[in-house]
Amino acid sequence: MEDAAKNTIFSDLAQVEKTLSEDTTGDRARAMLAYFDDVAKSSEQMLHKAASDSERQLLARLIEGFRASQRIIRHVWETLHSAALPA
Amino acid sequence: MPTPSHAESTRYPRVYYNLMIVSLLGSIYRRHDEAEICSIAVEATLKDAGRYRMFRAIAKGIGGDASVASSMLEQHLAEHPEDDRAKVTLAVAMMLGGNPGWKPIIDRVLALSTDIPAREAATSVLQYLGTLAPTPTTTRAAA
Repeated sequence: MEDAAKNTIFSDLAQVEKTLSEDTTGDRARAMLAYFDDVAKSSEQMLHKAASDSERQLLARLIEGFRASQRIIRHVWETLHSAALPA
Repeated sequence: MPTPSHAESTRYPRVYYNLMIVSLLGSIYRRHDEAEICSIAVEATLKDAGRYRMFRAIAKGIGGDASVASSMLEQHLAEHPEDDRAKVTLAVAMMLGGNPGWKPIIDRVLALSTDIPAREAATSVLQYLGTLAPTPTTTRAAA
């Protein structure tokens, strides 16, 4: 079970890296940035309505994580293509 | 983002799984500051972060940093001295990160372990390395 999980997560990770590597136009990278932007904004809306401290703390960490994910994806794409990601 | 078959099978929310994937990618590509932020968020979503930390040790090893694997190995073996599968996993992470301490660990598993999957994994590591020359110590990408 653990080996299967390990294989799956690293297979998915390799697939994301391959997608970014083959994404010469940056379209897929921008789609990933948009995805994490959407979930960050949704989490921000949930944060305003959060009832407990623990919920607020989790949402705050997730929002920071989603924003950091955008920076990672941009960095990976720019490393793979040796260029700035076009807007 | 990929279709997370494992995430769906274990009902772990897809958005968290995607965050996990990107955090590991950040470790491989040496964006350690950003990967750390993601990891804090990922761990907050997990009841037991042990397996994720092992994934992260491997990812950091691929990125050329064996320190996490080394420290995890010490901590994990202090708590679970009989866990030969973890020894092999973390030894691989150390090898990927260029820490020569991986070899005695693999040798000890092969010499002493009665855990068949651990022995098979250790043997596979050595067989794989036998197909390579020289021993790999390179990293995936520059920061």
